[in-house]
Amino acid sequence: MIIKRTISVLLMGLCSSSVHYAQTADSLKNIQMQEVSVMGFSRQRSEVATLPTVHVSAEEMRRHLGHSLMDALSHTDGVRAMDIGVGFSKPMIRGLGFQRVAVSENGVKQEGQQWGADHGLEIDAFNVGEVRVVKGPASVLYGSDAMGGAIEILPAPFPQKDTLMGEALLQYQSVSSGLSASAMLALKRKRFFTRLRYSERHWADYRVPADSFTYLSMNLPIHARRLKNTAGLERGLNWLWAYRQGRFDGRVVISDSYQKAGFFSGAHGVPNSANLLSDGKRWNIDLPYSMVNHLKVISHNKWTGNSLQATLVLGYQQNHREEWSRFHTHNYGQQPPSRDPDKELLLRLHTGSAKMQVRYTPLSEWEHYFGLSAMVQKHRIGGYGFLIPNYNRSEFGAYYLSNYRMNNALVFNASMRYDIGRILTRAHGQEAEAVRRHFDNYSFALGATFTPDRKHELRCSVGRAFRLPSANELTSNGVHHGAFRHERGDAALASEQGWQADFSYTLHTDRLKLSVSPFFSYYSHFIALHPTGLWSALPDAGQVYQFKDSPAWFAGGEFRMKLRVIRHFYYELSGEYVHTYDTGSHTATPFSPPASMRNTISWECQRWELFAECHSVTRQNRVCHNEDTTPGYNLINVGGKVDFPLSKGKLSLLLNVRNLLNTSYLNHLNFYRKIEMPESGLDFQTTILFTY
Amino acid sequence: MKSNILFSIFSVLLGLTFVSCDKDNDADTTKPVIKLEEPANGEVLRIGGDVHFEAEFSDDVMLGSYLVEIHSNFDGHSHKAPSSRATSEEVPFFFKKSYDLSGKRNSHEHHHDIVIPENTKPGNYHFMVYCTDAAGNQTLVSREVVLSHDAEEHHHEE
Repeated sequence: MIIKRTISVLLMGLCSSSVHYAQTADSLKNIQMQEVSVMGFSRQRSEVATLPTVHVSAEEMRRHLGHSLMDALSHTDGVRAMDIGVGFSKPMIRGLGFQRVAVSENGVKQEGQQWGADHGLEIDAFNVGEVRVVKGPASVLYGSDAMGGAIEILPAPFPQKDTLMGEALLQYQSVSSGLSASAMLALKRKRFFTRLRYSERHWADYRVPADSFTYLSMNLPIHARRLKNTAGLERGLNWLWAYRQGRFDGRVVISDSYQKAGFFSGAHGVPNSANLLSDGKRWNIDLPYSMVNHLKVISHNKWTGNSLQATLVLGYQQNHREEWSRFHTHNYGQQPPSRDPDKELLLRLHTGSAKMQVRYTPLSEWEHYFGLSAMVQKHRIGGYGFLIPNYNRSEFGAYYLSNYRMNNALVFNASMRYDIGRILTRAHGQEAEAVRRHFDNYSFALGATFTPDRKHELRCSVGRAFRLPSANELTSNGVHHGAFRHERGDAALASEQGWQADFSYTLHTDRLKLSVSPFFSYYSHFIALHPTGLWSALPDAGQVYQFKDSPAWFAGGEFRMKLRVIRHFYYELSGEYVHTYDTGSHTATPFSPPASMRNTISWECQRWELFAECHSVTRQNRVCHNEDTTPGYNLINVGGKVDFPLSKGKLSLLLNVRNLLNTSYLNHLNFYRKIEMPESGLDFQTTILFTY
Repeated sequence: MKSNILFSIFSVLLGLTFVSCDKDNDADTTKPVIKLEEPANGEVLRIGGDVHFEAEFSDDVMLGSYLVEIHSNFDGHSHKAPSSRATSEEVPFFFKKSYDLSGKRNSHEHHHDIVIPENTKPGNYHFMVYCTDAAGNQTLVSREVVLSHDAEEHHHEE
């Protein structure tokens, strides 16, 4: 492993000095680049090299492989997981989450119901290899929604040699009695490559280190220290088919992800001691629950010429979400529907997208990208509840990116993008009026990378990003049980705009890796929910919250240092902080992450690894209205990994012990935080991985 | 050496963190306090009578208003729609009314505004009191009460 690392370090140095332009993983005109992709993947290059970007290798993803994709990614500086219990989570980058972070897989942005506090990310964590995280406004690359950043799941590499590969994985998680299994089979023959993966995960009601919780001045019991009805299941199927001949490279990916999970009865409406009585079953999913199915079909085509490369990505996805809860109403007098009387919400979003990009490299120092992108969406609703209406939405964008290499040390980058968007919502009874809005906006980024030698790297960038208001921000009018409050949209909202200035310094020596990346961002129209002080006419709703836009700023940074103390012994320190401020409410923005620091010691050999980590999170006193402050905590996590080489293939054993001291703590970013629900205690996570 | 520089960089970063943590919000994010004295949790309220409501509201800056809401909790869920199949004259009781508290930091509220009509369906109900302060911070106190025909009538001291 250490050898591998040294090689990749050397290669990185080599790449950044001489073959910088040849690194695009599958460019055919260069042989050197193929060596890079075989050895390390450390620098698969992004179109905008100067944006603050972090690569997480497939190996690192595997090391922290937990129960969700975000579990592994939350070890990345500046990235946090917003959990919904222990089942699901969604990403937050530098204090921005929900629809402000774009997640893309195989070049297509995942389109679901990202705005919902209790909605997770529908991606099979076991199918994810290398990931690229862009911190900060990335709408110049990904369009609207990537205002806070982007998480790009990179496609599986096309193997060089004809092979048959397979992988089987089994995982057990003690806190939720969770069992996961995943199997992959891949075949490469001449010009064809195909890969199939199926994963399944089941988990029971999860354990918490508490016997009761206090909510709304009521002390409510937790029977047998298990949260009733938090069980769930997840299934994922992913099929890749790739074809490569001459200058053409084509891929088709079909994936389907299904999730079904119960909502803790105490977090759905006003908790009731009768509802919290144990039903004696740990594995059942009772009402209320949610289920989501996400289907994606992607076609990725690339043609590479001598100085031209053309890419065409087509995608269709369907996100089908249902929330079931025993019939109840916020409209007095409404009768239960005759069919599916307990189906509260049905939200079905169809998205079609297309992206065309041409890379033109007339000189080896100068690289140009021209691109066009289009997206159309159709949203349909059902169920007895109402939250957001039917709508149609479309977005079109055109962009130009350019990288200019002045000399071996200095690279400049400029990019600009113009987008137009249109949203048309339908009226829905008394609750929502039809809205027709048209938006247009531009984004740009300017940056430079300075690499005086192979040890140091300096990057800086300034960028502007924007986001079109989403349907819920424009039109929602109802009580979402996920948020437990009456939320009202504003049809007149302007599009969100933001600026970010970013700087990063990386030092890379044989013994030491260090990076510091401070940033500052300012949003002139930051859309957030604010309390109005007016009582809702709906029962059980409290006051009305209104979406408003006001200027907000964010400042903070990340720090990471990894020091090789002696031969195989490493010490790593990382920390991050973001200060948020909404000038409209004069408070922090919602879900401001508290500062966090990790101290890790590890012993890394070729065959085995051991680590111990102290994860410290400060208290969060900076909250917005009606958010609770959260005390700080320290967690001790330990783990290890052993590889057993077999005659054919490899067997790996991974063990992660989270919260070794069984500390009872609250996570400021967890959905269940608002009901004062402590996080899970001591958790053993065992993974057996067989690779062939 | 190198590590010295590192630690100084990190301590600066850390210092920044703690400075920022100690500084609280500029705005009022402290929720108002509700001390609901009457009715008590599990109290049986008499159908056909009025409800003795008594509560103490306070806020560190300025109160806004409060809201009293009573709705049925028959099936263990918080708010079910009235069924059209009900053949009897009895209907679930629903009450919702807000009261202004603006300009005050403390207020003792006592009233008998809530009258439970004779045709109310007996059973479990939620008794909820919401209070906001001038900044929009909201507190909610929820009680489980029973509405019944044979509850004792409360006695007025005044």
